[in-house]
Amino acid sequence: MIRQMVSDFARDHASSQQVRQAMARESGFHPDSWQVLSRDLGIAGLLVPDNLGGQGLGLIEMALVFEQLGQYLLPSPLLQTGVIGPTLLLNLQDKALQQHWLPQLASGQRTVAVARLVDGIADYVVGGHCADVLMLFSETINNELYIIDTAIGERQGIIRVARQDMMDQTRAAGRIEVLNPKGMDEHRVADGPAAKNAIECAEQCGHIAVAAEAVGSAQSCLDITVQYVKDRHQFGRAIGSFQAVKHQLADMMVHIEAARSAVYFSACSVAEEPLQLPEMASLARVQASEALSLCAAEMIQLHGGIGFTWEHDAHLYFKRARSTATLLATNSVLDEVIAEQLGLCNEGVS
Amino acid sequence: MKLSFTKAQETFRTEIAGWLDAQLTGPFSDVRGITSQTEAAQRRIEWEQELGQAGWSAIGWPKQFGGRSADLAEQVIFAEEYARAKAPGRLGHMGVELAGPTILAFGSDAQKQRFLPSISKGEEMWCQGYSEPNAGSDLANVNTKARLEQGPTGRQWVIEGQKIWTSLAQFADWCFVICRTEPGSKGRHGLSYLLVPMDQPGIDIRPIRQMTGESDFNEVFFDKAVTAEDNIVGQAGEGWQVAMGTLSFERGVSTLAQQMHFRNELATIISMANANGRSSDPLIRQRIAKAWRGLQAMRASALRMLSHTDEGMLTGPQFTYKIFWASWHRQLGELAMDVMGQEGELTGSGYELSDLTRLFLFSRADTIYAGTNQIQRNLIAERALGLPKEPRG
Repeated sequence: MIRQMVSDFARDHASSQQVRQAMARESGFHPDSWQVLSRDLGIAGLLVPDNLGGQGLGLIEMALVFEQLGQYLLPSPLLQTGVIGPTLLLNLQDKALQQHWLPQLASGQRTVAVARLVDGIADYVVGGHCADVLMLFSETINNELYIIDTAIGERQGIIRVARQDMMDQTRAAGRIEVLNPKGMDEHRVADGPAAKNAIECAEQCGHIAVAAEAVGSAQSCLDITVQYVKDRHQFGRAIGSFQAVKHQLADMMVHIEAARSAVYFSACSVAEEPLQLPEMASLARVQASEALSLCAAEMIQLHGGIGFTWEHDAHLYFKRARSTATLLATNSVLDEVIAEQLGLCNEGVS
Repeated sequence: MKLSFTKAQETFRTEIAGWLDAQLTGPFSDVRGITSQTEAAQRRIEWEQELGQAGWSAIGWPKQFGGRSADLAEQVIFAEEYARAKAPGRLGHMGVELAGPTILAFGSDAQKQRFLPSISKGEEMWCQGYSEPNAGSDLANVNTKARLEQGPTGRQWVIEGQKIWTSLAQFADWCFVICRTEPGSKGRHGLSYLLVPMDQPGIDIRPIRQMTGESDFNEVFFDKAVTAEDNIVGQAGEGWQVAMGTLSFERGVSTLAQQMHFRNELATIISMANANGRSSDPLIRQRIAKAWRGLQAMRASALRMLSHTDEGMLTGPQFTYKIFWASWHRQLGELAMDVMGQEGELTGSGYELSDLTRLFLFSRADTIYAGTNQIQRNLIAERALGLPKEPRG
């Protein structure tokens, strides 16, 4: 049902032309389609409990939404505002904080950007240049977590945000800079292990959503390319009749199905096996990221010249694949999470 | 997708785990952990009979034929516990997983009464007569012929030809054979599915020595071998349909048991890496992480195949599973060698291989048997993606 709802939404709001219009905006997304998705369809509040204005559903449903949305490349603040932000708040166990912020996020009325500060700066934060609310974590002293209204923070000269132009134009991002560290103190909402656990868990849920999105995108790469090789004729036959072409497409499907299984598995495990979240999130993200990278690259190759043009959408998928491979953490860092969980000794690291 | 089991199912798990443990630390401790196809064959036939006596041999079959009418979840649990207990590879699996289900699906009542109880009790072993020297990837090109003739006790099929890659033939009492019963027919038409007793003068078995130095497979020569007229499953000329039915039984719950075996292999590689210090090498760490990811993806795919929760997309992993596990397992063999280093190349006297070295060599076959990777890609491209078909003769 959710699948169908999101698929109908995408049909009306996520055409190639609409995607390109959205990515040309300063914010990087279109407020109208965001309003339909968040407020009308209630997707922004999917993970938020119903007594706080949400739908009280789980990551499985959210993963299905992301898989559907991933088929198109429509930019939206959903990852931060619908997944990472709410999960962070829910993991903080601070009722007052939840009651204050969650209804605002669930309604889509305000968008959020969650980021890690390093030396007072967070770079390449998805939606960081235009989010209404910033949730900033700093490991440096004692795992402080701050929540600050962007407009207030800028007015008071505590922070500054600026857009950073990125290769993947479907995921607009920006820099968040702390100008006055002392001014941040009154916005601190948590610290210590509780804050650290909360942000880690939020990022891990983010990985699963990104992974689901990547599976959807990879599926689109395959579907669009299959249609193309059936239509395109050379040497008097459809190029999809050549084994050299067929076998590439078959490999794409093999990677997609493995990634899809991994994503569903890890989304289910959030509720059923919560202690395994770190490695399951890594599993989903890396598996899906690798599948999308392969599929987007093959999409260009199998389209030939047209696949290299700005006009065709292939490059948008290819660039999305790249940003997926580094979003929140690189694939190799996530594989290292798995290596540690598997108990691989590492003498080389102190 | 359901990841956990009910209380009743967990009770079932405890029961089977307890039984397996008692047997494999007691009277059958000598066969525990045997993975090669041929080692300690006589004892493993006794093990098949022990399983059969206790009703654990073919639990998914109907009770009247020696099964337990176990549901899918129980079959999964059994397969997992069997692998976890390091019980030996099943010498009876050709009968239990291929011949039996085929007879259940396509056989006559008389055939069910005759063959199924002896399979589920471990009294008769089976082997598969499909591939031929000129019918490998092109399986429909079989050239082994059978014709009906009058014999001493009635009409019988007389079979001539050669099968190859027949595992366990030397221990088998029966072989299910696809052969051409309509002279001059070609391809999938004119084939029949016959059940042929192995102990007869018209059958000659010659082991094939493979690159591991071991002999898991055989050539089987049929020189006027005979079987009774009734020993045909399905109608004459419909053998292809029956045989394809058997191939589809090859996937299913046994995939989860196979994964448990893979998990044991990966665990061995991890402890070896920790022991010899290669676990500190970032490349090795990453490759082990990747291997673990592949294993989890396979488990998830198997659960997707067994559950029905992702409507409409059920066909995905069914098409892609074989090529995925085979390629994964081959890479695991390469990883094992890189973790062991030069030490891994050491053999015992008489070319005796360690389990991981054997994995490295034997896994080259994984991407060849039961449909090569190339054939799998054709199947995926044509059947799942709807691309134009290859020309077929």
